[in-house]
Amino acid sequence: MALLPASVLDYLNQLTAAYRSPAYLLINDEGSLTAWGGNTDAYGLNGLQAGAPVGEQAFFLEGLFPLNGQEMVLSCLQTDSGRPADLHLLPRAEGDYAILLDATTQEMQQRVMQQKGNELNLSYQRLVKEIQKKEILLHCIVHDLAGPLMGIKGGYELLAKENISEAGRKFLEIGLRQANRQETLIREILQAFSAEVESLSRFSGDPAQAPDVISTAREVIEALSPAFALNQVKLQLDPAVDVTQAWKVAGEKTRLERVLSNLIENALRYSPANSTVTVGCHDDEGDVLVTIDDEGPGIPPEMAPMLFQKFGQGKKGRGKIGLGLYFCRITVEHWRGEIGHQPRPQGGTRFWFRLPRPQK
Amino acid sequence: MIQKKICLLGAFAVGKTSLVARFVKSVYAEQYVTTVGVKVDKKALTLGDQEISLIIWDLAGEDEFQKVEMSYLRGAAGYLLVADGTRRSTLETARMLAQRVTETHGALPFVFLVNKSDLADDWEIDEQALAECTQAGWQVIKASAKNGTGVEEAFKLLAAQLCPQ
Repeated sequence: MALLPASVLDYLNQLTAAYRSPAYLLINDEGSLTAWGGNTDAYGLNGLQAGAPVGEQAFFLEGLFPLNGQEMVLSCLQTDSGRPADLHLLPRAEGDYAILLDATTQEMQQRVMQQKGNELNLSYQRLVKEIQKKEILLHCIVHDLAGPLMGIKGGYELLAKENISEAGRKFLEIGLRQANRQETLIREILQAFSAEVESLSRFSGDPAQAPDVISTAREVIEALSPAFALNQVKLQLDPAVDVTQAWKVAGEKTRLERVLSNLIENALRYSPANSTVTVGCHDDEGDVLVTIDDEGPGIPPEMAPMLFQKFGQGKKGRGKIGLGLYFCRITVEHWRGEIGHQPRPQGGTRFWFRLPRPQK
Repeated sequence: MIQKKICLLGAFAVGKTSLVARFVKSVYAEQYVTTVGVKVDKKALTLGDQEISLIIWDLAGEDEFQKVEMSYLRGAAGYLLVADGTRRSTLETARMLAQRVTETHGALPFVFLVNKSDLADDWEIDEQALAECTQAGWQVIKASAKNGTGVEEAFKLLAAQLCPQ
């Protein structure tokens, strides 16, 4: 750049002096103040003393000196006692300079833009999170409401195998058609009213409402029995379970039903004909351990890590949308429990979840 | 009394300014106000029989348009690395910042503070992620600028590492 004429330089100096309130401090090799000048008051620098350490008189300069020949600018430095300033650090033969230039205007302009940008960014992040939550909830409910229909349809199909009249068969077909239609309607209605169902995700945690695993499991087993019968798979509560004792857990009944239902349905999908799915319940150091054992082919090792992830359905896509086990995991973990699976020595897979008992 | 400069580093809106306000003035404001450049505060502490004055540089948070300028750390004896427990991405930013500090200023002492423990139900940074930080040698503290939990503890933990034995 060509040199500026003296008159232009003079004008620029006046401009800086008028609008940037310059001030300087000169610091020696020992870090002590040797000279100062300009509008030091504007930056809260009062009662300065030559010979005293600069960090004790201008605390924001602590640690910055000596500069060791390094020049730098730290923009928009603020303290409670002065204006925002750009701090220019300048090593020179006579010592190190700290030059302060008022940055009030720049700070204000940047703040407005930065504030807007950050708020928009935060809103976007919150929105994405909210959409994800609702999406998961919606899919879980669709998954759950579709469950009983599986039982109804299974019941109709079993009935169709009985010796019934032609007219009865027509009624059955109507029933099946209506069940399918209902399934579609459920999805559409839930999509339309997804915002309203969000409240369902809340869990009161009231110990008085703690569900009993065995009675809940019996209800689920009864509801799913037609589907199991249709597939020639036996579903049973482990005869070894002590049904005389209480198996209450810290949770909520409807969701516990859904967890059990999802795990049992999952077992059915992978069970061969003439095999058995067994629901067990065990005491595990004060917690309740629930097990669902199947006699299926087992879980391929490559599937195991993603089994409880969102949309983590098996390769063959026997699951519906891959949210059943994901729902089980987030629910059990929300109740401070654990969930997992392991191969059974005699073949098949054991899915299990452990829940604490309710606190009295 | 010895004086030590420390810095607060982290992604934008993790609560660095609120943590300083809680620690220095015992106050908390709900409204989010972005920091431009750096805000410098001072707080005296007593650790055992030693008095220490912390010069606290609260740096503007890192975002996609603005990187934290490493020259602000000149002369810093240590730093508080801050993340927001409800935003997992802020943990990645913290890791990246810690790496940049090490590259430019060497291995300075630091404490990793995960803010917003009062919103525990909304946390995205899980225990496993925090355990990984601990395994990497980080000192991790869960804190809340809103209710004060863990704030003084984190500053004192860092200060203790800066005091001569």
